[in-house]
Amino acid sequence: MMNIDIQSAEFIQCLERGEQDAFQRVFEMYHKPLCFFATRIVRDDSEAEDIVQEVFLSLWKMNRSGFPNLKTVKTFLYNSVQHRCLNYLRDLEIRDRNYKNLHREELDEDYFLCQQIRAEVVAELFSAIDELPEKCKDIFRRSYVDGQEDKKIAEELDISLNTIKTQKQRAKSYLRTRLGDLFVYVGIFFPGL
Amino acid sequence: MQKEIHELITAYLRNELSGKESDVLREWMEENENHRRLVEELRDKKVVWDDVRLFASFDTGKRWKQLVVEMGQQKAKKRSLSRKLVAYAAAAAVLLLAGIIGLLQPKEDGVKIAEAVPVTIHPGETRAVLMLEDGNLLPLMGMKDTTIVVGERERLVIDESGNLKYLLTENSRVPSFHTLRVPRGGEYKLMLDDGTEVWMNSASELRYPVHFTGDTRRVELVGEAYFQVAHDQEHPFVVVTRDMDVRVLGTSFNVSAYPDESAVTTTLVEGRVELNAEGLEQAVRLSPGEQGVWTNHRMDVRQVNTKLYTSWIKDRFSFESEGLETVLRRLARWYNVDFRIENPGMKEKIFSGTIPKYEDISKVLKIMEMTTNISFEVKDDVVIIR
Repeated sequence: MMNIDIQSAEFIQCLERGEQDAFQRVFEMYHKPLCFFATRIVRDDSEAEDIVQEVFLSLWKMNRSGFPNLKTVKTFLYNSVQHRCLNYLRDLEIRDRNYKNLHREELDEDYFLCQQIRAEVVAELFSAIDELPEKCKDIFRRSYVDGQEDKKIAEELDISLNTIKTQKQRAKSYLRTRLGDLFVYVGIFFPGL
Repeated sequence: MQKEIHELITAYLRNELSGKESDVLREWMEENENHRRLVEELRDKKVVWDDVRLFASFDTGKRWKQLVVEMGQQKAKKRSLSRKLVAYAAAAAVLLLAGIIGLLQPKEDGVKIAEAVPVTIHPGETRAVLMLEDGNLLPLMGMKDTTIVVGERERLVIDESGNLKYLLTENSRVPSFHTLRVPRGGEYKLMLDDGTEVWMNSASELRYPVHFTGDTRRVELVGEAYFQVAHDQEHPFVVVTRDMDVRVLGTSFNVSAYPDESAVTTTLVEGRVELNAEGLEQAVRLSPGEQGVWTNHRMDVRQVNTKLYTSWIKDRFSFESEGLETVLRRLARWYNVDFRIENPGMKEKIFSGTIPKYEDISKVLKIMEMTTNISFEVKDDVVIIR
């Protein structure tokens, strides 16, 4: 399963038949971008995650025949998330008469399109980090995403401070090749990198 | 293969864009303000890094584990008692059917009878009927880029996109009336003698003089239309509906006055309109962005997102907190199908969102199924809601 090209017709057939492995790959591919996209609409990341979860669950429950390729699956996922986000905002408005969605006017088709593009750009940047070797990534994540101190990471992972330094160095040189000019972004915000 | 916009933007941020690709991206940015702003925001390093951080915070692994549990629960539910009973009942029914078929047709081909035939119902096309003063009917379907001579002096031009335009000689001053009737599943755009453009929605009818004479420009509407009125201070434009008149000078607005809807709604996009109805003490004025709703001899004015009410002229249905019945009525007009609600509880459902128009109805229903707990079944021209 894992060596079938995700863009192939064969993969779509596996998905249609309801193979959990295939479904998992779709989930792993679109989960973060969709959560990001939903957050840009509802402006609440935990609500956004719940919405995305519901959408995947209904994709699993529904009859998945009729998707000619992965792109239509993607479009379908984005449309469903968008629709549920709008429903969520409307419910908020109904429950709370004082609630005003300040961004209402900009919630048009073009706004959604731009947010989808934004999610895809960020996904691309993130994938560079995600491609780091497992141990290296874990350290990178703890250090730069969660903001943990080296000492704490060393304690939790039971490794030496030196190992952390080496791993960070590896991450740095990898990202430099992988991200080109974009590496500068990462570098500026993480002077220690 | 041509790169998608997000790939171009990423390449641009990495400073790896070819000359040709830069042109494509620049063109896209110039399309509108939102596009330009998106790229500019992403050029801000802080914005990008905040985005990446947010992106990374979603725990895909943890969420997958939760999802697997929920997916399993779904399977377990299927095996509940009531499902079992239904399955037995279905099996019994199949046996019974087979029995009857067996009696009628002792040969082997009776089994396929229970198979549902997939039906594709296509959305409405641009087609309409023009009723002339003398009662003659002129079907306008499928005619493009043609000129039709009507009566003695009037000439009707249908341009290449199938829209109707009147070309009149100075002599045709006799007020004669035409009625444009757009059937269910149809849609039409026409330009009146004064330059006013009218987008007619399906199942609608507009009666108008071929040439406007007198102090006011009066047209009569049943159904829904979007008007872009040519400015003429001297001659107010009046849309007469079942129980309300809309009076304007030069403006864009949408009027929905279907016989099967209790309300007559007027949505003003720009300019100014005056609403008048029997029993109303004085005319109600709308400002842009306002909607006047006339129901049960009462006029309510509220602020709305006008895009939701006028998007139908741009290939999309938009709904904002609308009941299932209203949503289905609108879909029925466009796709020329009937809906049957077999589960009255579903009528309580409220919808928001937009749906593309020019797809066949099964896609639209699929989107609705995915995003709600409603399920549809298409049988011939009827869609059943269980």
